[in-house]
Amino acid sequence: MSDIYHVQEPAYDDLAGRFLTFYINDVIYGIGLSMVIEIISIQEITRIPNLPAYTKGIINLRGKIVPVIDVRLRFGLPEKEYDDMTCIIVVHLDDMNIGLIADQVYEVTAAEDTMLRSLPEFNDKKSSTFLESIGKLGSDLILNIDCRRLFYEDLPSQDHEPCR
Amino acid sequence: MCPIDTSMEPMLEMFIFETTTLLEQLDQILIASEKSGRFGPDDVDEIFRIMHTIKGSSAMMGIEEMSGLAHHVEDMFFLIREKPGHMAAGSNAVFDLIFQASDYFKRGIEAITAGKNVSADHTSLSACIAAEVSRLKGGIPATGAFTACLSSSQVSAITADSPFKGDQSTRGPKPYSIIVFFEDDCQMENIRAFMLLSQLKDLCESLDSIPSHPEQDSALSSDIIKNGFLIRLTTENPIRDLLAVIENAINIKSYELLDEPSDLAAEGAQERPASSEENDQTPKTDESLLHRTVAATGKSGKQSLISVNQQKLDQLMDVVGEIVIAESMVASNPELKGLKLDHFYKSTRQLRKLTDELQDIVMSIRMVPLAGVFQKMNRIVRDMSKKLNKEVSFATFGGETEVDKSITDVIADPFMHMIRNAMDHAIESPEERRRLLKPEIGKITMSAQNIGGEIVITLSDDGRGLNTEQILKKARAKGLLTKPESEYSLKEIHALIMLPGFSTNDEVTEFSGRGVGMDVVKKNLEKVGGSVQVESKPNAGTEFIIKIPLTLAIVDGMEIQSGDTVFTLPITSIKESFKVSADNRLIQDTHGHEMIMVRGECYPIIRLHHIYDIPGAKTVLSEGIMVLVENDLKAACLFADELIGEQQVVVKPFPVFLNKYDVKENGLAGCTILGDGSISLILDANNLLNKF
Repeated sequence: MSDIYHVQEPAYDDLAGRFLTFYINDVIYGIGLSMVIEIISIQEITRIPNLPAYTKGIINLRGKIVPVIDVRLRFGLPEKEYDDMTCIIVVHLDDMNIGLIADQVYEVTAAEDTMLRSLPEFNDKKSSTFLESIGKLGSDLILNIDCRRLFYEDLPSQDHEPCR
Repeated sequence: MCPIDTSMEPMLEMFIFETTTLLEQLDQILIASEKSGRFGPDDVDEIFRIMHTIKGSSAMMGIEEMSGLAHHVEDMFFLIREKPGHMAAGSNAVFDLIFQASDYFKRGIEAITAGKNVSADHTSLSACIAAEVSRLKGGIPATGAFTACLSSSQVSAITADSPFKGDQSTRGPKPYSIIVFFEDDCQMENIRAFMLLSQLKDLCESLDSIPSHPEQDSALSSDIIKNGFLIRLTTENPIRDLLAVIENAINIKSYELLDEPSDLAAEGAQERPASSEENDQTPKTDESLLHRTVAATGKSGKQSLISVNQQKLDQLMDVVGEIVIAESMVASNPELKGLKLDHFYKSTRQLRKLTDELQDIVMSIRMVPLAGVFQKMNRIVRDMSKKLNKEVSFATFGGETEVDKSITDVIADPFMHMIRNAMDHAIESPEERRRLLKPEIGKITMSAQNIGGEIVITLSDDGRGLNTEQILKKARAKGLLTKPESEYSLKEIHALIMLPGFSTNDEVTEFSGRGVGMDVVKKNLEKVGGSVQVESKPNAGTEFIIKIPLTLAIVDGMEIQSGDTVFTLPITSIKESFKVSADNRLIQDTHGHEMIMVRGECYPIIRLHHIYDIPGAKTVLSEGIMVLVENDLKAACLFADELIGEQQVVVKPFPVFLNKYDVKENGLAGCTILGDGSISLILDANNLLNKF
C-alpha cells in the first residue's frame, strides 16, 4: 500500500502550496496537502503502555497499524473529549504513516508564497517550535505546522510517563 | 568497474542462485564421497555436470576466472571418469583440490554478489590441478607444463595447453567449420549472425564466415535462413569452448561441426588421455562428450522446482494474514448477532476451512529443511578436523525437519559458531583422549526434532565438558557475577557462558575465542524467538539444546484481558492458568513484591494492570486469573482479569515511529489485529520475566 503513496513531492505539483487546515482549540492550523493521505473519523485507539501521553496509541487502518498523535496534547493544551467532529488526519512522512488527532477539519486552501510569512525569532524558542510559517487568507490566519518537528522533536516535557 | 557486462545483469541473480545451488550440491557429494574414500560413477558424472554448467554459465557471464578453473576441474574429472582406477592412489589430494576449487567459486560468487571483481588468482590452484591431472594420467608430473602454468597469466593458454598435452609444448591453431541455423522467424538473422561472430572473435585466431559481412546487408538474412550461416575459424582453444558459446547464444536452432576428419580425430585423441593402451577404443569426439553432458543435464535438471523471490513470499504471507483476519471479521460480525442465518454460517464454515488450508499451504511454501544448514556444518567440521588434527565424526539426524526460511537464514551463523567452539575447545586432542580412555575419534552430533510448535535442535559433543570452576573464575574476573558464588546452581553457572563479554579461551585462534562467543549465538537465536540451554558433564561432553519456533509470522496466542486492554500471550510460553484459591499462600516481601505459592513453589506475581498502568482492571487477586509463564530460567505468574480464548494471530511489528520509545523493552513483542478489527498487543514472556 505504501508503494502507492510513496511518490516524491514534485509529482504533486498541483498540491504544492496547498494546505489542509484544521481547528485545534479554535485556532486554525495547516499542514502541506501533499503529505496528507486521508482523513478518517475518530476510531477506537489501542493504547500502548509507557508512551508519552500525546502518543495516544495505534489504530487499525484497513489492516495496517498506524500510530496516532493527539496534536492538542502535543501542543501542551488540555485534553478534550473526542466528539463527532474529531478526526484523524493520516499523513505520510519518511515512509511512515502517522495519524494526527485534530478537533475538526476546516478546509483545503491554496496559499501563495506571498501570503506566507516566516516566523519571528523568539529568545524562548519553545513558542514556535512546531510551526513552519504563518499564512494569511482573507481574515483568517493559518499556522502551518512543521510535521517533521512535530514527530521527531523531543521536547523536554513533563508528560513523559516514567518508565518502570 | 563492474565485473558483469551490463547486458547480462538481468541474468546475474539467476546465475548466482544457480551456481550457489550447484556448489552446495558439489559439497554434499564431496563430503559423502570423501567419507567412503572414493567417487561412485554417479558422483563423477554429477561433479562433471556441475563443473560443466558452472563453466558454461560463468563463461556466459564473462567471468573468465571461474570458467577457467571450472574447466580444469572438469578436465580432472574427465580423466577420473575414464580411468577410475588411477584415482585410488592420491584421492586425498584430489579431494583437497576440489574443496579448494569449491571455495574459490564460493568466494567468487560472494564477490560478484557484492558487485566486485573476482579478484583472487586461481592460476596456482589451476596449476596444482593440472599437475594432478598429469599425475592421474599415469605419468610423472610434466614439469614443462607445470611451470608454464605458473608463469602464464593467460587463462586460455592454460586451459588449452597443460591438461591435455602433458609434455608437448606447442601446438598450432586448428581450423574448424561450423554451420549454424537460426530459429524460424527469429528475424534479423544477419544481425544475429554478426553478434555470434563478435562473440567468437576473442576465442579464435582467425575468423571468417559465409556470407562474410552479414551485418552490412539485411537481404543476406534470407540466405542465412536457407543455407545456414557458415563460420570458418582457427583456434588454439578446445572446440568445446567455442561450441559452448554457440550453444549459449540465443535463437540458435541447431549447429553442426562440419566434418573435417583428420583434425577432429586428432582433437579427439588429444581430448582423451594420451595413453597408448586405449588406442583401440573408438575415439570420442568433443561432440559425443557434449551430448553426454547435455543428456545428464536433462536428467537431473528435470525437478519441477521454481525459485521465487522471498519478498514475494513475504507479501503473500501478509495477504493471507489479512484474509484470515478479514474472514473472522465477516464471520463474527456484530451486526449478525441474533439473526438466524443457517446458510450463511454453512458458507462461512466452508470459507474458514479454505482459508485455513490456504494458510497451511503458504506456510509450507516458506518451509525449508534444515539439511541445508547441517550440510554447511559438515563442511566446517571437515575443514577444522584437518587443521586441528582432531579426528571427529559428525553425525546429523532429522535434517528433513522443516523451518521457516527466514529462520534458517538467522540460525546458520550461531550453529557455525557453536560447532567451531565444540571442535576447538571441547574435543580434546587424540593423545589426550587416549589418556582419558575415550575413543580416539571425537563425536559431534546434531539433531533436530519437531516437538509441539517448536523445533528442538540439540548439538552435543563428547569432549571435555564445561569447567565450572573456570567459568566462575572468569565470570568473577569480568565482574559478571550478581550473587555469591556458592549460590549459583550448576544450571546458572552454565548459563554464564552466554553472558556478553564472556569467552573462556584466552587464546584467540583462527576459529574461535574472539570474546564474541555464546552471547552472540544467544542473541541471534533470540531474534527469531529461540532459546539456548546448556547441559554439561565434566569429561563426558556438552549438550546445547536450542529451541526455535516453527515460524515467526503466525503464533498461537491466548487472549488475556486486563481492564479494556486485550493482550495476546503466545501459548508456548504459558505453563498453566489458575484462579487464586485458599490453597495458594500469598506472600509479600519487605519491598512490597508479591509472591504466590503454587504446589510448594514460590513465584513472583506480575500484575499486568500495574506494570502497564491500565485503569479499571481488577485488582483483587482472587477475582482475576493467574497465568503461569516461564522461560528457561525463570517463571512468574501474570495477573489479569480474565482469559478470553485461544486464537491464531498474525504478528505485526510496531510502527517504526514507536521504535524510539523502546516499546519492545517493555515486554511487548508486537501487535496483532483481532477478528473484530481491534488491535491486541502481543506480550513477550521472556522479556517480561527478565524485566519485571
